[in-house]
Amino acid sequence: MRLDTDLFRIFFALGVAALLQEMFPVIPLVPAKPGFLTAVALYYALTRPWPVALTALTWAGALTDLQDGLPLFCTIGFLLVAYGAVRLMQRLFLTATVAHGAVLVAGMAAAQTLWTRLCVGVGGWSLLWQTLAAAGYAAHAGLVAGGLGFGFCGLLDRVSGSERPVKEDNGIGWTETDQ
Amino acid sequence: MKQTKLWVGLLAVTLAALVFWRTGAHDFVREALYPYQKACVWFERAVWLRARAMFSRSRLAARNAMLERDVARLRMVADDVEALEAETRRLRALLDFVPPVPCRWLAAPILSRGGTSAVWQQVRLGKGSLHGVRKGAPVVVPDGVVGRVMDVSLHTSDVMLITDPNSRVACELETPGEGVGVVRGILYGGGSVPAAGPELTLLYVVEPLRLRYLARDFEPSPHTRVVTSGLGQTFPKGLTVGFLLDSWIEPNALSREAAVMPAVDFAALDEVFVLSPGGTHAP
Repeated sequence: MRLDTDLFRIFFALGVAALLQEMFPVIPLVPAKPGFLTAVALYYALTRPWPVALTALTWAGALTDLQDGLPLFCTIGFLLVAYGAVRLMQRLFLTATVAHGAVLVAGMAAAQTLWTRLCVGVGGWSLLWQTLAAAGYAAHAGLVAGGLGFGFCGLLDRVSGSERPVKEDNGIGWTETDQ
Repeated sequence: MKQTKLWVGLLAVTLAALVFWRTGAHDFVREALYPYQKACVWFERAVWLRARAMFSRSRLAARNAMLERDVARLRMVADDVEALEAETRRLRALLDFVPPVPCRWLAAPILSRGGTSAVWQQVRLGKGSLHGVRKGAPVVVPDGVVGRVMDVSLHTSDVMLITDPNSRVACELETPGEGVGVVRGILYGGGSVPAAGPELTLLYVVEPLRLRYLARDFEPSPHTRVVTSGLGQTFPKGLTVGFLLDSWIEPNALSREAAVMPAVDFAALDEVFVLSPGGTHAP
């Protein structure tokens, strides 16, 4: 049985995303980590069939949970819920472009911050404003992560030959990723 | 179909590893990233800082002169300290006091801050169990207490900072006053703002830490140094934690609470020292 080349693409993309997210410094101006792992997971949720997408989501969530000592399936659970939402939005308007990715990851990063804090019990009514502030900052960081993450994964697909041209129009080769 | 089976199989293996081999998976992920994190830290120190220095020579000359003066002053202080240590040993022997347990200082570089999700106030160090780091070991810098090791793998360790809301440090005031005795309390990490109404605050702006359960009737003066009390066997006695800003009676009227600004600038940390019992300094 030949190995799917998506395996190596996803390994590489998640590895780079995990390293970047771990090493990215937290600055007082934006005290949140860019969600590169979430961005990569959501890109593959949009562009791959369900077995590949779910595996990428699980690995991305596992990397986040294991690195930070979060409760088991905290981030994985969130990404699975996000997968359902993303597939629903894809039927309506969502595509795997950089712009859509940036906005999508921004929203998901804010929701993930609230979800994670709920899972670990950091928060409570006395810290409500701080929690909402954290979600706001995470959205800003998610804009950056979504744009960079979707751009990087798209580039990786093009460079590795995962995209194939489907039509030529006005001298431009239009492509789509393997579905 | 075969590819679908492959991916479903990989998913099942991942879930099984997470459920049945969580600790191993946790260490595996940390160790897998460690070489790349070390390479990034090496690049920053060996290449980036030197490149930056090339464009700031004038500032370097002034800083060099200041550091030379500091070294000369510290040499004199070190000579005095050696004499004081010898006298202390002699006096302890005469009075039959039990000497404090000597600590080993292990220097460790900081690989990353905040983890992957920035939920915990923590830093990751580039030293682990192979270098003698143990869970629960105190972490300090010359300025004061940084935190405590909460997780260790072969080459890395995670340190919970004293600014984390889950952090607790047994402290006392350095020189409370004549006839007062020792004033002790528990230092709580930042997070909850003890104000009448909620305020929108930046998470990583260091909020004053809270020193709780102080004696109600003694009002400490601002800028009093707060040090570790040595109780609980976690931190050695006498390490600087911070400086007192203000104090007030707690709502329960049974004790006093104080705001403490940490002595350490956590944003500027590059290297820390992990304390372990026995021996002297280690590279």
